Amino acid sequence: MSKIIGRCIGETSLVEVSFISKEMPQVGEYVSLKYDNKNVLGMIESLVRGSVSINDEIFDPKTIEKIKEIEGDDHYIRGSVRILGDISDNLRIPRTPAPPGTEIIPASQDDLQKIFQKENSLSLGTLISQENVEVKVDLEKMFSRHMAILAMTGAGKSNTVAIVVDGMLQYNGCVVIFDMHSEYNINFNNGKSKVISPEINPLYMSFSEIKRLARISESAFIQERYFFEAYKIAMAEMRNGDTQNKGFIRNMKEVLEAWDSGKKEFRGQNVEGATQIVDVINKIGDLERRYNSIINTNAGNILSKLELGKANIIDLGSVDESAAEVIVSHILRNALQNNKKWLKMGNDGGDLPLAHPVFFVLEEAHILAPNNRSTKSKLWISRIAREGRKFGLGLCLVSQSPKSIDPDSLSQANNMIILRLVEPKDQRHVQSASESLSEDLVKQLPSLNVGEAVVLGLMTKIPALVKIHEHKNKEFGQDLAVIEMWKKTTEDTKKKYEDEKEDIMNLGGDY
Amino acid sequence: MLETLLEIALGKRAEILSKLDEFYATGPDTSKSWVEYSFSETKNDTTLSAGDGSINKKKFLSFVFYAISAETLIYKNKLEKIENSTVDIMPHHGFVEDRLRNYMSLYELKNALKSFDDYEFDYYLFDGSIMGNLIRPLPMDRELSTKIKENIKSSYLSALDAELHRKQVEISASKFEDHISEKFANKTEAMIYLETLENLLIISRLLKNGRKIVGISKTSTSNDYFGLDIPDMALFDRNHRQQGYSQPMYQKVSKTVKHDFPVENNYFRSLKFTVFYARLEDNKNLLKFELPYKATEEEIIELLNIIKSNCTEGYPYLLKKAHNDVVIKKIDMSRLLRMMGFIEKDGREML
Repeated sequence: MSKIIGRCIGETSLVEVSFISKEMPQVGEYVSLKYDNKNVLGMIESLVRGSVSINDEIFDPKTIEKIKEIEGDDHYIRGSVRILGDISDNLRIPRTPAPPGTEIIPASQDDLQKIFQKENSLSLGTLISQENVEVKVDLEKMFSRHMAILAMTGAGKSNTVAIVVDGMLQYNGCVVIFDMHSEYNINFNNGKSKVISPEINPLYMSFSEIKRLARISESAFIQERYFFEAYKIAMAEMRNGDTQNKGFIRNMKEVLEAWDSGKKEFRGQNVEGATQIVDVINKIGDLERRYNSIINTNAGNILSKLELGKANIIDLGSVDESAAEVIVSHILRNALQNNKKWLKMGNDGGDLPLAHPVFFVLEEAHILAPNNRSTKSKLWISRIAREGRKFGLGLCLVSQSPKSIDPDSLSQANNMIILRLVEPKDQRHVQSASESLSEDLVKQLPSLNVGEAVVLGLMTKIPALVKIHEHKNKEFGQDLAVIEMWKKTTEDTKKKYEDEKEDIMNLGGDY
Repeated sequence: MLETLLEIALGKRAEILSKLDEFYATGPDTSKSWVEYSFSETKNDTTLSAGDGSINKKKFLSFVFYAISAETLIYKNKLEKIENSTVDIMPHHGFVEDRLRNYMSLYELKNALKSFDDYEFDYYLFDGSIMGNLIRPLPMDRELSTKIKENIKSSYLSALDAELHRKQVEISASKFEDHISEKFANKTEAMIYLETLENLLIISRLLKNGRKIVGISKTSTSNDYFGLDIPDMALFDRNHRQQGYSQPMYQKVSKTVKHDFPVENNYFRSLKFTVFYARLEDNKNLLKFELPYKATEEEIIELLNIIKSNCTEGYPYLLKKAHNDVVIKKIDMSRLLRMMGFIEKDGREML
């Protein structure tokens, strides 16, 4: 017979029971309550340990010392168990609550293994409380219902992303990582990474995307009119092959300069010296300087560069945030439009650059889909979050500042891997976005160790506290060893000086 | 509370405070009876034991429901305990309070006796005054005639004594209730008298453990030291905030109790008590001690050192724990009553 952890006390409900114990179980441990011919699975969500005698009315440590000496470790343990479902009835929530006094015993390893073993699954790690139980999540559900990986800095976010990506690659999946810090160019276990430089051909850019790059504000409608006309002319010339290799931006600038100097008329009017034209010319000049590297008229459609079975890394480490927003929105918009066409065509996609599902990993999601400002990328992230599952597009939002993520997008992420989160505002924001994150589990978030996570959502039948596998690339995502680096630089400099000194001495003479 | 009460209290405040000043102004010089002494915590092989009892009741229109618990703790390296409890109902009569107090005392004392049988220890700390239990007027002593009392004694005493030898923690006298009901017209009074006899017999058995018994009271109104309206305890407490003890007083039961005890009279009258006050920790509560034997000052100091080693906040922890464990609070009574499922009215529903 299994060891009894404790017994239910007080009023029990269909979703939660409280218990008292003399043994110390672990938070996150799965337990079983057998009653009314049911074998109900539950998870210990909170634990407190107390002593009737050593209470908060004692103000002298010596008193505590004596009580402890006499009573020893006579503590009680009170906890709460969240009911997860009847093991013998496909984890349906039972219709009757447990009788008070019901024994709480550890869930059997066999039962847990059955629950966490799935077909088409991705192995995330092992249960924190039962290390011999491997936690596998449903990859299809992870993909179609989107996911968020949330944690404070240094809690193991990048490692978790790597584990997820590796799991996708195991099935020859197509993963796109928007790599804000150029850190994902690593060897994955199940596939290589392919770094794609963020070059966009203006031919494939929408007007609003290029307008955003030029920083023409929504209220500057006269500037927008000049800019739009120049864009149209440049686009037409580029399509006709009349750009004489000047480049799209340069071409737009020349059109505007011709209006400014009076050489050409704007819509049949002479607009020579119009201040707004000068403003637009300046902004285009600025755009040219800043985004020269990402706008390339010779670049093909970026979607056609994505490969199956590889981690396609869009390296955004060298571009600023607004350029990153444009690139992300550009890729997501094109992917959604592409996949809508692909699925409508119902064949291999014909000439479409993409003809398969894609899983997008968005690092720094709070920058790309921020809570309190409007960005182009936010619009498309939110659209894919809503519609993506119907068109074979999955999203993974990764952030160290969940409170700054757009709540609409976050709430669409049905699956969550939440590592250590200390900030209360972050916790509340995540809780409001996830119906399955209980108050008790939120309280556990600050106490998670590095690499430990709460895993929730449809991808797992039941919430789990998981020790995420450590990716083979251990250095990955870790802080720099600055002291060691300083030491090495100092030694290198010293060595260089000594070498030079020796060289000079070897020249001979009276040095 | 009426607002007029508040007004009256404010009006009389100055008068009451000045009365209080006068009260203390007449205070005697207590320093001659007080010995300042810094007790050391003696860590030796001494084993201590302590016990307490608790009673709570709920009066319904037709009957009284009561609950009684007693606990004895024994500590030497690890804590052992003996617990006993009971619940029952009792008809209304004029002596309910006294009778239930006697019941609780019986449970507490019998529990203590059981600990003497089952465990080896050096001291049993008794919560309250042992002498107080003895000098209190005997219930039903006046209500029943000498003839009836003798009749009760002759009819039941030896049987009761035999019952007590079974060493069960229970109200042994109640075994004779049916018989008494048939035999005596004033059956309740007769029963209470028999229960009183049982209590005296049990106290005598406990006191026969002599030097192992230490009575400790948190409060006392006795004025044997100074003979004033202010109790001795209040005077010592006010004047001596540091550790120490009062010069012991030796008291014979025979001097304070005029009547004869219906049982064990010679034994009780032969008893000599050592009474003193002590503060075991600076500024903590003053305690009153009673030892059922004549103890020297050296013996008192040795005993207090031992007790201090078991004290928290200047009070023996075992006694405190026994009290905390055993106490039947209002909320506990509510739980018991819910469990009983009484549908009886208590007559206070409209409040």
